[in-house]
Amino acid sequence: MLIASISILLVGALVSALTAQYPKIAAAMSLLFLVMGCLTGLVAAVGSAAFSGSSGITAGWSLPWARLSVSLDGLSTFFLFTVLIVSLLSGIYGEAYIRRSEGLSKSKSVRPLFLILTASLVVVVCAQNAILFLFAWELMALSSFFLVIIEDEHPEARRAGLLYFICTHTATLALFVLFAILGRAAGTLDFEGIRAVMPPSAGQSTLLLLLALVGFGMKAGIAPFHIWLQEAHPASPSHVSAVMSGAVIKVGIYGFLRLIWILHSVSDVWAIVLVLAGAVSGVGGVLFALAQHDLKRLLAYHSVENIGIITLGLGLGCLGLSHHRPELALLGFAGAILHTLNHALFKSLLFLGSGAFHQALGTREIEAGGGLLRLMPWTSALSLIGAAAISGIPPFNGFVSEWLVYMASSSAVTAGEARLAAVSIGGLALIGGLALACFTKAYGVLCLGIPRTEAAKSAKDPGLVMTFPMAALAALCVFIGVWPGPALSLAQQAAATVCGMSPGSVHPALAGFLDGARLIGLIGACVIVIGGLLAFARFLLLDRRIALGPTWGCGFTAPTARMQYTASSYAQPLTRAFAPVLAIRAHFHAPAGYWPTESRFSSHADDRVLDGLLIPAGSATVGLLAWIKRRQRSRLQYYLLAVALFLLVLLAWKL
Amino acid sequence: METLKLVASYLVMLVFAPPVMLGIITKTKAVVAGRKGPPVLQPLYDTLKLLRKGAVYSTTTTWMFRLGPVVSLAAVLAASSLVPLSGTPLISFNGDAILFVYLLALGRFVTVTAALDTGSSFEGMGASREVAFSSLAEPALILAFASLAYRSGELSLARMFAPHGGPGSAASAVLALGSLFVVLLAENSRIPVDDPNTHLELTMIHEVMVLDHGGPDLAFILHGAGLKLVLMASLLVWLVLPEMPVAGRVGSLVLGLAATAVVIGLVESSMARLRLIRVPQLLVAAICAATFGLILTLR
Repeated sequence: MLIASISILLVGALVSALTAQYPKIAAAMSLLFLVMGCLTGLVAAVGSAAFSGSSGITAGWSLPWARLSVSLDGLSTFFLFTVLIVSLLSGIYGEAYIRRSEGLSKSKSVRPLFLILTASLVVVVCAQNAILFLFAWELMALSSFFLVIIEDEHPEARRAGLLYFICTHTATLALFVLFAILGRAAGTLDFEGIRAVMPPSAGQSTLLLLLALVGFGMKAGIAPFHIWLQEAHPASPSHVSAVMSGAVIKVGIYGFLRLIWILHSVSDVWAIVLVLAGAVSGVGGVLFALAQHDLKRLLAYHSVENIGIITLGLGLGCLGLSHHRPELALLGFAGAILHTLNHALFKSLLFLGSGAFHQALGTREIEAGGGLLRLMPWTSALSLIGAAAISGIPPFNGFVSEWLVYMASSSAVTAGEARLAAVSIGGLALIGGLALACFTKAYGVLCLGIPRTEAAKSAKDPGLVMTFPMAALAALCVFIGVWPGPALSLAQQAAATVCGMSPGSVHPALAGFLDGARLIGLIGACVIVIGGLLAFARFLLLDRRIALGPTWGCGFTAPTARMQYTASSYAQPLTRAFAPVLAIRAHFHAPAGYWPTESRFSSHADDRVLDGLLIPAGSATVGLLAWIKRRQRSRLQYYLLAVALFLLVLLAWKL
Repeated sequence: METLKLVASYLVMLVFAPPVMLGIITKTKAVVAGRKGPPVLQPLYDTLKLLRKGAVYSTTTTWMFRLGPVVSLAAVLAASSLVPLSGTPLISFNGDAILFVYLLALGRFVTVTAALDTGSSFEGMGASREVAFSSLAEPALILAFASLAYRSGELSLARMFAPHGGPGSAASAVLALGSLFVVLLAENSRIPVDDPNTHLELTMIHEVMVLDHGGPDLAFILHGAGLKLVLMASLLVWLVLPEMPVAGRVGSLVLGLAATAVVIGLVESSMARLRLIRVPQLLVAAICAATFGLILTLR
């Protein structure tokens, strides 16, 4: 089934590329093959989850060390679900999105590339051989790179594409070294083979951690390797952003988990590094998101935040492995894995929504919106579910996985790693509050109040093809929030696979937490029921005595749309409190004189790593080299002298 | 029979504790100021009056505005099932303390979005302050919970706030108590963070968010806010006086709540509210206290 799914997707890419001259046929073909391929893959995933038998296929390959070997264990199954759900729904949405977009509808490559990206994602999470894994990884990186620059008439897309290209290849380079080291030690590049001969001490290696952090962390967007996210997500078409944020960055997390599975056990250093990186990514991501006005850039920083939460879970899981505390390991990994799925669901929902808002408003600025809940009721209502879920509040799915990470932290307190646990608990609590602030800001400014621009006044809901995928994602968010059982047991199986336990049974130490999660779902459902009862009570009490009037303006009777609270003002108490972290640049052209004419105010929060560190460092290096070049006299004697000096140095070093 | 009694006493607490507690605070402030003050049950009369009224909705608003009051009250009611309001809670499991905090966050989310739905800049201002302050209050609350959870070995409110002789020093309990009290004042918009009696929109936090609500909606909001105060105050009470010999568990809780109300009234009579710019400092101090408490517990 798995092979069938991959082949259907690839054949679909070929067919839609061949028929690209005729957009209608290409659209129909690519949609047909995407749906068929993803559904076949989902059947394979369901089969593997239900019978928990790893159905794999292995074939020879002419490359040295390589074998075409794919199979599904608990971990792969879980990520296969994530990848396929996100790709399928984003792809359906994408068809309508492409048709409504002027630039994209002319493009011949967007459909084949999307299918190739989906196929490569499937292969990455199922590959059992390092060469195949890297091959698919590279295919994924390249197809997503071309999708980022698909609207290359915009300079920001070209810039983002270049940055993404550099980052993803740095990551791949680290992965080549990583697998070369592993392969050299094991004599094979099959994952099972490496795992079988890997001594337990291999996990002690800090070098492997470093390589994984660069390779997988760069893809996942763990701070400070997140630099490409906030550029690439806004630049790409929205359905591609949804897949990038929902699936592509998750593959980095998958890589971490697969590596931990290969190594059996890891050292304390992993736990410390991952927990700290997670806390920094989480808090940093949400703080920078607070300062953004561009909806997709804001969402991209939230991906960094959520990857931070996932990384906290990963770190706590590693702590459990290194301290031989199975329940802590299972809790941490299960929390991380479940949050991967949850984040994929609500973040792709939000990105799909942002695409609809972008097309309706013609800009990604949230300040250009306002009142869209009235004008685009479906998109706004569904985005509200996404916003609530990403803020981590019950009865939605984000809370369940955050709760698991909380429980892992509290379990780590008793494991004797109190400092890490305190970092994790405090970080999670801060992230929770700030995420709520950020999403009430974005949602309130965009969808509530009254329209701020002419474009917002004439905004309309997109058609059913675009709202249906969002509705499906929103339904999944509520479903996991109210009835977390099925998703949780899948996540628990995946976590058990990572820990090398038999995935069939529930670990006794975890049973209590599963019951707790069920109660959370129950209480979430109770909130909905009580809310409904209260609304009914209000209906009876009011007895249709409802009057309409203007909003209370505290005595002022001629309010305009521009007097509404803006996004920057809304976030200002927090951005000021965290000013040393954010370093917001403000351009203020104050009104002056008795008859002031024009005044302007704008503020930016540049990325601290990219704009604050890497670009200055890069230009300083270029400047230094240019200085050296100017000083260079092209005389043979100098070169000979340099060669002689270098030889001398070598000689001295060897002696 | 036991269950019936539990549910009945729960219902009595849910209905009567919030208005009475708010009434005692107002009475205390009046007595300190040398006034007679309204009767203790005045908040209850206000709620009943509001429930009988019709509603005026702004033409700007949508269903979001009407969702706010019902969901925020529903969230606080759900949260109350986790707090031992009548000796034992209705539901208790390991990790319910986190659910408690996030249910309050759900209430905040819908209140804030309902406020932003009116398009009023005053309500936007209030919403902005609310989310800013509570995103600092939340870490303090959770860290205080964490240090209590370490003593009891479980992150459940019933166990954390039950009398026990677990490890832990008095100092850490005092620190947790201090940060919980600051969080209680901040989350329930009391002085020194917010003044519930102010009538200037520019300076209010919680009250300004609900400016446009009226009738049953306002009744729901006021009762929900009072219930939130009762819930957090009862946690404080369980922490300080586990059980008094004569009154029994419910009786000692009721007495403790009354005493807390008097303390809040005294705090409100004895100091002015802080400048808004100082509030984050107070909350960060609460976070620090909670963290020190956690460190002391672990030592």
